[in-house]
Amino acid sequence: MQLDIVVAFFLLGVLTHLVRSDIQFPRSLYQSLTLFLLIAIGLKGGVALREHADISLAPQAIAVILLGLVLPLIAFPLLSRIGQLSRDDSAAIAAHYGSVSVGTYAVAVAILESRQIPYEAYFPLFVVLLEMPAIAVGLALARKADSGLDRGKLLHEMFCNQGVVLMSGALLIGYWAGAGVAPIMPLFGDLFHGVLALFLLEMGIVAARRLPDIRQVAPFMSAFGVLMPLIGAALGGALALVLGFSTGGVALLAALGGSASYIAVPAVMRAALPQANHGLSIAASLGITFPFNVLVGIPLYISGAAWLTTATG
Amino acid sequence: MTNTQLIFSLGSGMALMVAGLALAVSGIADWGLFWTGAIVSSLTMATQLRQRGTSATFKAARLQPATARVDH
Repeated sequence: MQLDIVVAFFLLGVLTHLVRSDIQFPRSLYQSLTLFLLIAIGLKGGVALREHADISLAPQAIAVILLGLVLPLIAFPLLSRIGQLSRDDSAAIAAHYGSVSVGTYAVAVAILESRQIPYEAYFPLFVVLLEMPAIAVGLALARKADSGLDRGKLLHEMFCNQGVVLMSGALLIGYWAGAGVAPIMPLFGDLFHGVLALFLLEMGIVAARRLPDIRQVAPFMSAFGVLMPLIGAALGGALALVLGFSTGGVALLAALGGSASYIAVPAVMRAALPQANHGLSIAASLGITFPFNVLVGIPLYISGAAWLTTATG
Repeated sequence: MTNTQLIFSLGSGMALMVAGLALAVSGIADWGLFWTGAIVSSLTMATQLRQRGTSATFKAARLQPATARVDH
């Protein structure tokens, strides 16, 4: 198993929890690392977008949005019919699995860069686009459209959460500045892998802490938490192949399709579906799917993408 | 754990093991998927066995007073 250096820090985080080492990660530091990653990814994507912005991006963007609409529709029946979870729980979890994880994307980018595999650097645009459709589908599945919910608040959470605002903001700044971002890149470019390692250390601790939350439905949720990312990754990878992406691009869209949100969607779902079991959604997303993607999924998506792009010429 | 959940979890675990084995043997990927399937299958079987054990103990405990009365 080829273990990337940043992933090793994730394992260290899990280990520190297992041996009950008293590592306290300040909440504000975790927030700062998240903000850093969102800005770094957005900036880099914006600069790349400036070089590649043309009409050919429109069908790609539409296809990616469609992917975000389809994924929760696949997850929902699995959760409600097979998992026999309540409608609200199923809709909330389906929305998490239809949306994306910036952390997973960052790890995928780090591994691609360490293996020197080229990819379409404007992918952060797709990360932003994939954040929202699943939330809308999740709410429609929960049939909450006319329940007297504060739509203004909901739309605000959907479009103005920190992930969407910071990443789209940084994307726009990168697009506008182009090579002008150079003075700030020693912080947001050179330190990216180091900050990601710190972020993953904390995520390892959080993931290990979250696992007991799914004890009551552990076998089903562990199977779902592994199978659903593979379905999403297969769809994302297939879509990327059809769209003509490079090997790195196929791996990245597979990683995005296979990831589950744990930042933006939980905030929206808490506001929209207060009666759903949000601990279950977060535990599945953070305790099962994120570790699976980091340790097994992303290397698998990269190997699969390399094999597929070679096989299809 | 319901029967549907059991079948889904065990089936998924087995399917992941088979897919992981195929990918690893053909050299496309490493053994990660295979071991993931093994963990999912083992977890499912362990939970099922524990539930059966608990259920059997519960039934035995419920029968205990009746048996005691007959012995008496």
